[in-house]
Amino acid sequence: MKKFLNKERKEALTAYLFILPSFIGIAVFYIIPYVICFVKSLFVGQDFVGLTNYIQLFENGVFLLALKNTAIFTIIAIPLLMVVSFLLALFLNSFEKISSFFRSSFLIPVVVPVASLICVWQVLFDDYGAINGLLNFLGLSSIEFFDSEFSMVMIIFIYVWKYCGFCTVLFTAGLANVPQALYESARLDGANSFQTVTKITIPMITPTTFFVFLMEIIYSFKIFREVFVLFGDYPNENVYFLQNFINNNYYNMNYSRLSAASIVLSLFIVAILFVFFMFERKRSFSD
Amino acid sequence: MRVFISKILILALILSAFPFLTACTDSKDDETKTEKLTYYVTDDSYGRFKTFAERYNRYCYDAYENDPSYQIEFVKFESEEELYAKLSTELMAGKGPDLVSLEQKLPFEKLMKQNVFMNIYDLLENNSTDDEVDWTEYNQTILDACSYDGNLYILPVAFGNDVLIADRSILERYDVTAKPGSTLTYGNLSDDFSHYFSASDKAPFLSNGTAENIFYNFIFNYVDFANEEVYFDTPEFESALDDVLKIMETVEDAYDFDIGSNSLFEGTGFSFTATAWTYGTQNSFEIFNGLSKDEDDYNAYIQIGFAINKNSKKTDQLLSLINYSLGELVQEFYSDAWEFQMNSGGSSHPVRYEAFENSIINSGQLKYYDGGLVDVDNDFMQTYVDITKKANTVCLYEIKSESYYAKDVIGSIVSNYLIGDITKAKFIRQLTSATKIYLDE
Repeated sequence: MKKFLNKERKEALTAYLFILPSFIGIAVFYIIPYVICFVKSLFVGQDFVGLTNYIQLFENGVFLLALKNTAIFTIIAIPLLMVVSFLLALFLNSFEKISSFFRSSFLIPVVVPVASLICVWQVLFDDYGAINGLLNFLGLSSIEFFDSEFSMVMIIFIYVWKYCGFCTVLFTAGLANVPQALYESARLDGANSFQTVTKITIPMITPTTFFVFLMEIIYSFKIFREVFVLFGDYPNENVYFLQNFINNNYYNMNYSRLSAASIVLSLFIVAILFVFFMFERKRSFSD
Repeated sequence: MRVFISKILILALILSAFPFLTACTDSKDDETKTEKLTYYVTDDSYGRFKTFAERYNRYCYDAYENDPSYQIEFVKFESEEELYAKLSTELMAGKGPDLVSLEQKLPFEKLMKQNVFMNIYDLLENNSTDDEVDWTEYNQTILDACSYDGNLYILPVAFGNDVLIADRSILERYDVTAKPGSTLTYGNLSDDFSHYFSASDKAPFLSNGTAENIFYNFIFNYVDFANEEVYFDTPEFESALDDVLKIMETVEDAYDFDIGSNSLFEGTGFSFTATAWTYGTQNSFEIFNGLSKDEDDYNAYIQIGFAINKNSKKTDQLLSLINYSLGELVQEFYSDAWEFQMNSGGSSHPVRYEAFENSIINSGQLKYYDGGLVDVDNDFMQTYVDITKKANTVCLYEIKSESYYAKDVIGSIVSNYLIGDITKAKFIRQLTSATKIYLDE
């Protein structure tokens, strides 16, 4: 036994034992339910139907609508949030010192309860809200922000507003780690601000960008809370997301369709992450 | 070493998966917990199916004296939330109560398509009994409403239909132009009732029911759940909506039947006997079909109906319940003079043809307190029988406002509109969108 447990093996065993509790947690709460979900997606009731649920899913107009809206939201909102928060971080980075209160205030939208936020948005953007009041005052007609194509714009706006501060803080931390010597060298070589940002800052903060992207993906799926509070189970067709589809199918007790949609949604997320991961591996200069 | 540790991790994964996998299989302990058929109720619940089940239990007490397993056990919950949370979770896990009734707030029109319920045709075919059911003896229109893809998922026991009964003098007072016996459509309300709507001393449009029910009845007329069609964005719906709101303003919520209430119309959903008993003595009443979407629509609804959980294994008990429900004794009992005389209220028409015809005959054999026979051989009763026989648009729910679709899908949209939070155009748009999504998803 003593021979078997040499130093290297002891270290490995210790490492695995440390991993074990979280591994069991992940297995119990993620891996096994995921496998069960996948198995359920191959059944209707107790009858095995193979991929029929998936085929029916992609023939279902409402699912395709939800998929389209989710894709539109992801494609527009996430890059927009990254750009806005990065620019804000660059702006803040230009100051030599920022008070901790100011820095903390960026996180307020994330910690304020959803219901309170929605009340504010409703007061502003309701049919009879402040914005429409202003538009009417200016002689313009009202806009149904919550019941037209503007609904998607509203949700993107809420998402960017809510998570912008948090992502800015993350970017600020990333920018602080970029060696100042690189900027000084670039300036000596005659690089302008745009070149400094594109050639030094962005490549150097790729790991931070990747992390921010991951967080944004997670938050983009959490935006369902806001959509749900604003629009209920059955929102208008512009903001009907995959989470609505999954949630409603739970209440309608269509578990096979719900399981199939959940698997598709997870693959959707994995595909996005995979593409970005490949991109990150190719373009990272931080090392 | 790494391989060894990996094996341990895999073993840990399998061991941790074990409770999940066993939880998803049929538990014999649970199956043997009660031999009786189970039905979930809340502490304060009441309803037609519960009354029906209690009556069935009394029948079982006599018929299966030494075997209580044939009875229906009411599993009680403190609240509806708890009941439906448990019900949906259990159905997902392959368990749940043996019976669910149409009075429970479940999306039956969707569940019928999702293989959640047992096909009653199959159940009877695979388990031959002494009492073979001949389905041709039952109202095919009603059975079709409870079927999907040729499979019967809900067993209808009794049905009701929409008729409006009015005193001729009140109709004349408001110069109602609709012809007695005809169909009152939502689209023609403003023409047929123009004097009524413009009158300053409007009588209530309906003596019983609630304004909410009137509104949901109207909405349900414009949704075809079976064919997944929605007709809210039609000019007829838009114009009728204003008239229905006017009607609602006149109605004070009243749940009790109230003859001679001075209202324009008196309620719906009576058995032949109840109708004959109530209106037979007087020659002053007229009867109309409706309210309906189209002239050819004769609305009906399932008054008592239940579905069987596909996970149920209690075949003998289920067969007993089905045979009881479809049997001549129960069909007549639940639909004609007997119930009215016993003052237990409400059900109207049997699904079984023979019982249906008998209920018409029986209603003519009733006697008033003074010994006089109830008159059924008049135009009024003949029209009622005709309207009932023509029933062709069958809704699964008697009280539409209590259904899953009304409560959980469009409930907030309707209440927002009724309290004036949203405009008519927005209401129609939201109603159409939510309903289309609900029907398709």
